[in-house]
Amino acid sequence: MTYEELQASTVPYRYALCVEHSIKGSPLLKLERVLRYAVAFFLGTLIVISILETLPFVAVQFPHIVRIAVSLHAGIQSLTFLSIGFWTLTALLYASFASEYFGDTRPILTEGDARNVPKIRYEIAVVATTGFGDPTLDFFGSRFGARVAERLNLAPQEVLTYLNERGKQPLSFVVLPLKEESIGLAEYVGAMFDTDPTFQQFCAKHEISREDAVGAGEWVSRMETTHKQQLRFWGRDALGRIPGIGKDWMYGETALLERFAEELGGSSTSVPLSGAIGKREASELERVLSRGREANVLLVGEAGVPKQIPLARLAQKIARGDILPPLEHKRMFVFGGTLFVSSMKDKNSFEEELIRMLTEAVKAGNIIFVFDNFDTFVQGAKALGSDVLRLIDSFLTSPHIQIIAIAEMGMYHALFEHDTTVGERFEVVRMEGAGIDGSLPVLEEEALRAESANGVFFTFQAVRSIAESADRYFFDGTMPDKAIDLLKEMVPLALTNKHPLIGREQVLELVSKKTGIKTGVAKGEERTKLLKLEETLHERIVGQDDAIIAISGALRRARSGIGNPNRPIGSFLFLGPTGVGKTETTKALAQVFFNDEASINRLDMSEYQTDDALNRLMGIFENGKTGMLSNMLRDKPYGVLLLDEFEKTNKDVHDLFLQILDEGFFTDATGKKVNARNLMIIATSNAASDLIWSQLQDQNSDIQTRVPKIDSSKKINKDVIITEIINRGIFRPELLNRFDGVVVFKPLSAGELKIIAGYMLQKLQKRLKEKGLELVINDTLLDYLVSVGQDPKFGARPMNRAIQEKVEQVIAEKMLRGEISAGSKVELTREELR
Amino acid sequence: MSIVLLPLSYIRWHCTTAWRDLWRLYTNLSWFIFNLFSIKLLATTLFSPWHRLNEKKAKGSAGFLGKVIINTITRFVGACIRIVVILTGLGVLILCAIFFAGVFALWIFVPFVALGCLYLGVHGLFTTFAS
Repeated sequence: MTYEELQASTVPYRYALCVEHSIKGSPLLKLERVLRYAVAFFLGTLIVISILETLPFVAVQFPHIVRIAVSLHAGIQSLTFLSIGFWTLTALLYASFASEYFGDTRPILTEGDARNVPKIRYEIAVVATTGFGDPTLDFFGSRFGARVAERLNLAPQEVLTYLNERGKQPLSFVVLPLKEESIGLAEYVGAMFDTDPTFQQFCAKHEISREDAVGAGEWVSRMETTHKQQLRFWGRDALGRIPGIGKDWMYGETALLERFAEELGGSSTSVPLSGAIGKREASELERVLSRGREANVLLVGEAGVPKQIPLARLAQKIARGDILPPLEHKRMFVFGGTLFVSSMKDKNSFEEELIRMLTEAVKAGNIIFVFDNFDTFVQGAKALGSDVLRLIDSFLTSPHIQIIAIAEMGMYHALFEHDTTVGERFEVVRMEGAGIDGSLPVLEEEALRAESANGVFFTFQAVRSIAESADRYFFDGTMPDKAIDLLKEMVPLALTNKHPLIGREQVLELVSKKTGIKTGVAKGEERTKLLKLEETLHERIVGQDDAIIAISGALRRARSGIGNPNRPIGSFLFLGPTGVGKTETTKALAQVFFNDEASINRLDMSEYQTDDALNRLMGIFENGKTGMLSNMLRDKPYGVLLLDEFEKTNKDVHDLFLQILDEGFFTDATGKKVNARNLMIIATSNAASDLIWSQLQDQNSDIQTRVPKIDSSKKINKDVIITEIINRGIFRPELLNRFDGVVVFKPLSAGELKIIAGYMLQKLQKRLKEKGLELVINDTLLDYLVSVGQDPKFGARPMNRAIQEKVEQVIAEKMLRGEISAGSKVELTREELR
Repeated sequence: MSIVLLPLSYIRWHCTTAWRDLWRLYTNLSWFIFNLFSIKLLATTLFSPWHRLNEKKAKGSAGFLGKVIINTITRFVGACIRIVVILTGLGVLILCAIFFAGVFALWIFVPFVALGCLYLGVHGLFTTFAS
């Protein structure tokens, strides 16, 4: 549809547009309301005056009041006429405006004359008739365009400058018509983005993506829809919410039910019902519950999935009367069984009360009975010695009652999945989380609620990053619940900071604060640090140039956010002999990425070699024992996971990590998901160290001392090493492929060891300085340490021991002998060290 | 479109589309009244026992007689209340129909009534101030 065609499609709104462009719809409605009150006031006053004039005792008792009334009568009468006249004209004008303004609403309950819904929404008609004859200018010139710009955090001045610079331009503007919906702001903004390069540049300059622009348009259109729903009180959707008289007169009493269960009201629900969340499940519920017999549903979903939403949707449909005939006039009672079980003294009283309640529900004849937390209820009853499923079996087969049981996914797998009675009596309806897109409408509604209550303002980018961050960084709970929690947390923060405008940055700041993960665009010091990552890592790691380049690149990719959000932040396999800096590199990474070395979760995989290794890591369902890895990741879901000596664990554990590296989560023994997407996973291994050695060995090694020398100039052939690892069956190729990088650490050369010795001695020097001693670090000391602290098998590790056993020992003895005291200079000779 | 065209557009709406809008308003309101007083439901369940209050246990002829009497009473009470509600609902429906018949009949004159009110108001104010 071209812009000209779009303009031609505004015909169904031509009258409303005429009003819109001359008076505006909203002020007209306000004026009508004011005049309505004026009519009521003047008419009321006139009636009172007329009564006062006609009552004889008033004329006798209060003659002055009557005098005033008479003098005011004519004036008030004229004002009454005037207000009635004005009000009628305004009301007629508004009625004529409303006739077309509500033309694009699609009522759920069909009304008398099913009219054709226009191809475009009212907002688009307003935009297309702004009068500039250019899609972009018209958009920003309209009130709806201004609202979209506001949600995108575009200041009016910035927009004005952009439009002035841009001017009018010929565009090949095309918007695709929709099959079932009318074209709204989302489609219009999308078309603008695709066809106007200046708009694209303007958005790019303000860090607005196409998704942001389209999403903001969709939000404004959705707000308009809600606004119309609220205004259109005469529509059947609004009128149908008022409950009818005597709907339950033919059904039984529900005293006991009302005591233990809560009725789910159709219109008074507090559950947000925006968007499409729970719609599919609600129609599934409707289908199953409408069956003649065994019309029972087991509604299963992960913990935190808002399972009340499909129920609330169903209740709403029942209240509107827009439901299949078997469910007409039904009442839904939600029974929170846990409290009921705990209030019962013994098995007998529990069973008696439960049966009485369900019998009452059957007698009433119009009850949909909902067992909330059915899993915990069944377990609680089991503790009392009662088998709930057998107890309620006759009700489950009854055609007079419908039962919905709600259970968590994990417990469903553990308790009900293999139970034949459950399989026969219930139909399982699985409820999925809303995901990012599904959560947006709910979040937008919550944002508007927070805005009107607290005076803050959410940009669309903020709402979107709330949804994305909640989904990516917070694994406990499900969407949209966890996103709503995050949104609610934003409000007090914004109020405390006296910054009522909540944008993407504020959201990412809070997420960083809560998780320790740096999010958003790297700026200032952090950006410099990332760009100079190699240098930063080299401050702690000696040598290993190739490894550091590989890691730095991967880290920058991870930080820029272009990595796959459904996998860990980064994953590396560090290969190399002991003591060459693998662990030190991990610590340096933790420091750079999470600003905290303590963010490392370390697992020594040599402890997980036996057959029960997997159970120890994941937990055992039978005895309820939780796993080491599950606990570790639940306690510290953000940080570095260090898997030391990864080659030593067994194949099952390798398979577990294959899944973790691939999907970013695993399912523990209780069936609950454990998140690993916010981890940097580093596995170390000294597999094939011998091969690394042989590749780098200097041909001129000292044969007498049998100490092999390393030739640092030689390059490692990584492919050969990896092939050898696979051939030896240490790691399977698919596991190696899952790592973002396999990094080979070289053995340390004598020169590198000398630098390390220097670093270590500097640490000792610092400690001695606190005691007033000054340690002189010279070549003699360094050479000595390299000669005694070098071990080809253990890299730089023996160096530490050499410093302790030789250098510290000698200094300690000197101190005891009184040869050195505070203020002395300590210079060790080769003889002293021997 | 400018404000100059507004009166013309209005007249067009008043004489054409407005009838359809009024008719929709009338059907919506009638549908609402019909549902509010549950006329169809109450008519189809006219003689159902009130809140399912029926006596089931019946031992011997005396018990049987008691059961018949109690059940008849509950059904009778239920029917009485239902008839009252149905009749009220039908009454309101008729009132609504009469009201809308009036609106339909006078609709074409409503703007003139408004203009007449304005004239009376302005004239009245002038007369008051002049005297």
